[in-house]
Amino acid sequence: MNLLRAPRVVAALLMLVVPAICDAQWWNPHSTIPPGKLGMPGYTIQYDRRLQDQAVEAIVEAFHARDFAKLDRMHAEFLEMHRTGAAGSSMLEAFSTALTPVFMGSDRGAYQDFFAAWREAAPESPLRPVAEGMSWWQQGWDARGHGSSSEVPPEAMRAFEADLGRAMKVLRDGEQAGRATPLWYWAVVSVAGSMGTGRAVIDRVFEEGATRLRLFMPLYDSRLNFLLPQWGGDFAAVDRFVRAAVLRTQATEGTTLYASLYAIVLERFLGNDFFRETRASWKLLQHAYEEQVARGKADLNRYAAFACMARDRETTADLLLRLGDKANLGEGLESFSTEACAELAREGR
Amino acid sequence: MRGLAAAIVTFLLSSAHGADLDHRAYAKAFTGIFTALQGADFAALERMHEQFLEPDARALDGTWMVQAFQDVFESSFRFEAPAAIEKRFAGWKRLAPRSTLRPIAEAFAWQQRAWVSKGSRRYAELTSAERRAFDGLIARAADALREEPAAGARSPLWHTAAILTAGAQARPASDLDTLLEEAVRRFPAYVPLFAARMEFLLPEWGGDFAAVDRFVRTAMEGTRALEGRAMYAWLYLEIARRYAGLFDRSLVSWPEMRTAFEDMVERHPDVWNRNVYATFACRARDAETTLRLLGELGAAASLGVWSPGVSTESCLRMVRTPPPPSRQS
Repeated sequence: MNLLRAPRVVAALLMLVVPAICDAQWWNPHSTIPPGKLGMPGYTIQYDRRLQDQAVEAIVEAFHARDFAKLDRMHAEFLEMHRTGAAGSSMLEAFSTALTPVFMGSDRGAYQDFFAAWREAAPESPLRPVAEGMSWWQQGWDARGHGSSSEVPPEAMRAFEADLGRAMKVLRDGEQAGRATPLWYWAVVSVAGSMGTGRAVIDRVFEEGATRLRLFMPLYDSRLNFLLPQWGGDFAAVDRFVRAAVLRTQATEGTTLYASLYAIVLERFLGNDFFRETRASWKLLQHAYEEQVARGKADLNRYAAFACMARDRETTADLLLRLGDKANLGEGLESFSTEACAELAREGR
Repeated sequence: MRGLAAAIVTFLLSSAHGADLDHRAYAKAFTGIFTALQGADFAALERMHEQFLEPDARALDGTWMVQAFQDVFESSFRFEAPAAIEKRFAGWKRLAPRSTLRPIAEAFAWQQRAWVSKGSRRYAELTSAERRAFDGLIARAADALREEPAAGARSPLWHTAAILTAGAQARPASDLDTLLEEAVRRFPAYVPLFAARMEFLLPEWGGDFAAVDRFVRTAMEGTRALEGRAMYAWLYLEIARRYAGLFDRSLVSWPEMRTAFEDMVERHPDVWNRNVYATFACRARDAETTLRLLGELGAAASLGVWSPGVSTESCLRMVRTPPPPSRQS
């Protein structure tokens, strides 16, 4: 994931406006900024992928330590950065990243006492219903496994459905506090989609979250996921969703969401010919990627992978040259190689 | 002859127990190899290779420790940037020019890159660029193996890579069979050798499940003196492990699988094997066997490996409400 890199001056100004950010690294044991130095020359926070990974680690550890006060404080801080659109506004995504592995494979009901204590100590926490809902969601998926529904034994399917029902109940019960965070909308869409809830219901939740709150990519990711053919959807619906998302966010994001969302589609694409089977347009993708490049947030490997799939030899060759030793076009994709794309690029010479 | 076989079995059993290596030891070996490879600690890799080539380097579940190298090589190079792979091997060659392991690692690496280029499509479905990439990478794997043919005398990894390479080059079935025979003479009952040959009998390579089943039965008979009928289970498990969807489409028979598992756990009574056995008993909805194994495992029960939707909990539910007997066979 590419994050905007804030210039130092913006960071310094922000610290005057939002005093809480001055203390923004309290949760991070890996921080190299000495206490009291944050904001001084040479001691600014770089909100990059590494820092987000460290936040994920801190969140997972806080769950293991059953430290809900730390979790609520981190969430409040990240939510504020997200709400204001300040540097670090993507840090909130660390929660959606952490909430899956933290509960994966854990003993059934292992966290129930923790959630009960959290509910009692902080009844207004917007994070608690999200976390509790996602713990049931993960438990359900652990019971079901990730095979196609025809492979799943009936007793596993029953356990899955019961757990998802519990997840939805927890989320609905915590709706009043939860609606303050885009994580709540993300969780509801994830659970509802897994339950096979009707499109109209999921769309209503998504629309409310996408309209009320700032752009939160995991919410778009989750809604998009359940429009894919493997979830009973189709690529026409996917394309309508992507185009609507671009229109909604164009004022701030330009057309970059076209690339970001189709990159998600590619990661989950189960067919053989992306541009023939989906409704993605290479011309629009190229435009969106060039806009990402101009904004300094393009994943050139993914851009090159799309160019190669579109059999655009010239762009593939150009991107391979720019990537040099970092060329790894198949990163995160099941069956896609740099070598085959290099061969394609050679054909064009 | 039967006396010799019995002696070998006794040796294998005693050495396995003596080595005190349960399935976790294999996982530890995997981690050690992976870490050494990532950290470019080639001396450690060579040391571990030598250590795992010892005939008693076998985990209690019957897995040869040297197999961990193949598992690491197959998982490491798949998603790595090609330039980083080249750099790694150049460094290895510079620091250990006489290494017998490095050419084997290269053979696995280029093969993995070739599989990535091919994906799950048949060769005929590839574009011309993809075919050139695939052929070029497989040729590099073959070159790497030719670089160190003597390694084959000592390491089953070399033979496994050789069978996989020859199969990918679409060499005739008789060539692959000859390669397997040569390898098995040196390393009898080394499961990955049989698994490598079986790969090219799968539908993806123009084969079919009847051919797979004939091969599994022949392999089982050939290794019976050493492993009883366990090879039947090991090879079908290989299909379940590597190709989740194919297991249920294969001609596997649960009663024969159950007999094979019995032979496996008798010879290799590791808790891992007993959990795998219980998982597949549950998958076959054999409530009686599942219940017995769950009872034997007690708190060590951890069902679900290579089986979506199967867990200790779901199997406990299954045994409480067994399905009609017709589904148990």
